[in-house]
Amino acid sequence: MAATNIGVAFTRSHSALSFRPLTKICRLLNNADSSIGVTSSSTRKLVCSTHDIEFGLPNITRLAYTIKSPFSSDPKCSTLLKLCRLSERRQMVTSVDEHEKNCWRCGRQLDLEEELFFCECGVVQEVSDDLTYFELFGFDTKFDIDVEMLSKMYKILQTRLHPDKFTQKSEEEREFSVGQSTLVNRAYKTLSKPLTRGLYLLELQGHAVEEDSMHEYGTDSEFLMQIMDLNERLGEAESVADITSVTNENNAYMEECLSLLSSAFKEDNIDFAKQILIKLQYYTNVDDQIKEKLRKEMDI
Amino acid sequence: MALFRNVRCLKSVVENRTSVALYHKNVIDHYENPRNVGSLDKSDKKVGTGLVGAPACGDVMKLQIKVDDDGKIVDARFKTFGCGSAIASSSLATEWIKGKSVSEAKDIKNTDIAKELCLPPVKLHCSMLAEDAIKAALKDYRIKNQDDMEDKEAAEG
Repeated sequence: MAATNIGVAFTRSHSALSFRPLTKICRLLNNADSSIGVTSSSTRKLVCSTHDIEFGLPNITRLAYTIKSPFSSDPKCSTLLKLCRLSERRQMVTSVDEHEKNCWRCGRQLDLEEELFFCECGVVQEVSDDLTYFELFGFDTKFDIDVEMLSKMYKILQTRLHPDKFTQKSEEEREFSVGQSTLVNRAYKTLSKPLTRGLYLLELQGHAVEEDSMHEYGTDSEFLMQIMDLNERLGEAESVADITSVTNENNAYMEECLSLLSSAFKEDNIDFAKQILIKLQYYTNVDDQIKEKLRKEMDI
Repeated sequence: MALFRNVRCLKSVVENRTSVALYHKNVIDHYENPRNVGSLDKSDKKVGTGLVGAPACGDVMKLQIKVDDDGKIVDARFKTFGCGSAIASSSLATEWIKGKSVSEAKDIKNTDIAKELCLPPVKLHCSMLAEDAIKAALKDYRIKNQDDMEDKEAAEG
């Protein structure tokens, strides 16, 4: 129940920096009205126990509005509402949310949900390097994302951010557009593929696959034999039909990994997710070799 | 179309060149002329097989040794599917263990391999993989011949 607990719960699994504003909100809430209990049920969620409601990402603007609409008539929410109003008048901005940003050109405060890349005035903004790749595209930090949506957003952003569009603009704008476009590229590349997305998610949660972890994760000889066999058969394949047979088998393994991975992340079974991702890495390497081999076949 | 194809070939040549240029000449030597590639008969009692994988990059390495009655490694083979450094590390490993006794081979350290190939820090795990492969092959040989060794010791004792 205490504000400090929330802070600990959040910072344990995520970077302390991203959640500092949340701790401050909690402290303010608890100090202002003890009848309002705020606790965390799971990471990334803020739960108001007296009202049985949850709030998503700790973005103060969004948080404030979420509370305001359905509970405005509830007297118990008076403190929250007061905070919302204060927030609206932007008197809390500096004290609560360190992530608030103003447009470097016109000075207007940015709505970070809508204006992460461009201010309403049309000017490209500085790179927000404190956001995760998920946050950058407005996704929840979860394994299952709408990849189609991701691609759409990526294409729109890259069209708008392309450095060619800034050749006539100021030096700052050119610099910012390059930074934003590089970041968007990197984020898209990471999120678009399940393997890299999963590995990134592990990294965010402090469980990255270390290079020297072979003693921990490299001993399943039956599995390694299977990988060896796939590679050898591919190496010896002389016709497209031979390659196709390896491809089909490898694809089936990858499919299996993907469905296991999705449920492992859903169940928050990090260690299992890690094991599956490691397997997927091997199958992906085989897949790369298949593509390379097919490309060579085409060239000949 | 022909023009496109040429452009594509040219592109792949350029790509290959840049990727190889990042490696040290010792790595390239082993990568281009790998020593002792192949397999030994796994079911042979005198053959020890080590199969290891690198979880972070998905490289897989098989290293086999053939040991004579005096405990000397008379043949070694490897098959590695992975980056140039991993291939070079295992190639060098087979070269080094050939002619050594089982106990001498055990002392080969990944740092020696890394030093010989001038591996950069990000590729150190490739040499660790080769050391693990040697150890795994030796272990496999030892397990296969455990009974004989005990008999021998008993006879000597």
